[in-house]
Amino acid sequence: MSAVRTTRAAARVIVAAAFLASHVQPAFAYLHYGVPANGTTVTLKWTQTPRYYVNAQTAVDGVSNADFQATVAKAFATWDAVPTSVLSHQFAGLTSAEPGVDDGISVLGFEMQADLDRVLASTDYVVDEVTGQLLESDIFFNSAYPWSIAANGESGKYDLQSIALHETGHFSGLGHSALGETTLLPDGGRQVISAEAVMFPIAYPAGSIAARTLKADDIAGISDLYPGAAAASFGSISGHVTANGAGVFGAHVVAIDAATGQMVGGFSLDAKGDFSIGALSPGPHLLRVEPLDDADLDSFFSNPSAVDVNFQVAFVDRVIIVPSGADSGIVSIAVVAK
Amino acid sequence: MSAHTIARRCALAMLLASGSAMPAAAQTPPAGRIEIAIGPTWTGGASMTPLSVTETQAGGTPRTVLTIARDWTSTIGVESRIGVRIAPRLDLEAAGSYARPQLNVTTANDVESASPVTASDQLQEYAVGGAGVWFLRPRGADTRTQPFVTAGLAYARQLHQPGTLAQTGTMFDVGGGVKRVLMTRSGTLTGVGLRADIRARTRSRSLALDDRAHVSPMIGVALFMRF
Repeated sequence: MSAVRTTRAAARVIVAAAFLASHVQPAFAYLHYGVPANGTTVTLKWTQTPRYYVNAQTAVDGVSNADFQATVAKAFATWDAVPTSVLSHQFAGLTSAEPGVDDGISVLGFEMQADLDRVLASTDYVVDEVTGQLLESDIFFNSAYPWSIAANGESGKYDLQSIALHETGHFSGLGHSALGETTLLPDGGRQVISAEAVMFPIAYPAGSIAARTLKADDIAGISDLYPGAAAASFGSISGHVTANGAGVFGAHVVAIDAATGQMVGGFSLDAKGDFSIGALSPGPHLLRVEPLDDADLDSFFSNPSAVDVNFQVAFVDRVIIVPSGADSGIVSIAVVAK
Repeated sequence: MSAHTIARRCALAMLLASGSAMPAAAQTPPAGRIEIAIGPTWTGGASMTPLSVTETQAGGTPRTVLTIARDWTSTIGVESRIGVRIAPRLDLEAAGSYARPQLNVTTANDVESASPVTASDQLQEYAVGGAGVWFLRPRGADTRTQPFVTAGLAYARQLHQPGTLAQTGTMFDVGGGVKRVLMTRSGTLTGVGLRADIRARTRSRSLALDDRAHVSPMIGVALFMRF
């Protein structure tokens, strides 16, 4: 989960969707955050090496402060190790500061937030409203839940490394991915059947350590935000999704590499149904379009009523070729109402 | 056995030897003879390894969300060759070919019951290479039918949707066929004929989506001219 605080004066906003609102970037590969700045929308990203602090008192049952430091360092290092991205995080030290306070430093730590329904952790940002520059990002892990750092996971406890990997993805500027399948639970929550992105908004059940490894979708997302030299050969697919001639907002468009089967997802992000999926490996791809029905819509968009989920899953009936370092050209996808 | 009998047998042997050697000497082709051939080819399709697209379950095991079959369709192409006779039974050839196989990617077993679809891409496949042709019988002026075996290697380049992406690799052909001389004459053009061959064509792994080599049958017919 993620949230945004606009710079200085604004109050802390807990719900991520409040930020996602109408400011999702019509950009690549992933749901990136957009920041309104000076009448334009700027992609939320670090322009300097992000430095983070760890709250010196943070610890919960089974996770010491040293364990916490080591685990979040491992999570950041996982993102930093993506060879097609140049992002690198830096541990700045211990602090007495709490996460979620506008103090000019990025802080990670546990907090008791028993009132938050089904929120394991949350990331928020401080953004310069004039330049759109990301100034600060804090992550709190909800100590109302049981946590584990066991190498093989622990039954009934959430894997800190998995959740930290997801939140540090937000810390870096990534939004949620929709590459996953869920079932609805009687209490209104959702249980993950399977997912293929660390940035899927719903965690695996307690005890699972399946989200410790970045997937193709995560790698595409971070490479698109912070492209390294090795990302120069990546290409993109762009186009629009329509139903009965009208643009479809919020369709989940998935590029499937026909050589590897790896999936990278994107969304149609405007009223015309335009989408663009970047940081794709060159080669033949399949395109699959599906309604966004495996997670709460407000995990992705703050205006869920605008999202069209009333259409059938469909494939594009031609192979889409992703060229090296270029775009496929516009792909028009017409979907049919359910 | 008498001395006379031995002498007669030696003479017969000599005659037989000379009888077979004389025409062979006459059939020895002139070095550097050149042959040019051009004609259509048919290359059979090939199926690549099916692919499962998966997501990861809580236990770390994969869950298939759809399956994909990948094929090259059979294709008609054109091939040209220029050969040089370097030995009585051996020609070396330079060859170039062009074909337009189609890449088909077919989905099935979609976890959300999406209708299966076959998505296609029309490829352009160019190949340039060389081959050796070994004739099973010595060729002579009066040898109109010339069976042969052949093996060759080519550099191949596949273009997806022209200009968007190229994949390169090698193609290895092995097979055999027959040449039939239809007309001989003196002068610069010394013969015209037809060539038919059947080969097994192996496309290298770098050309395939499953990173494996694939073999397809190939049939070629060509008109050749000898100079």
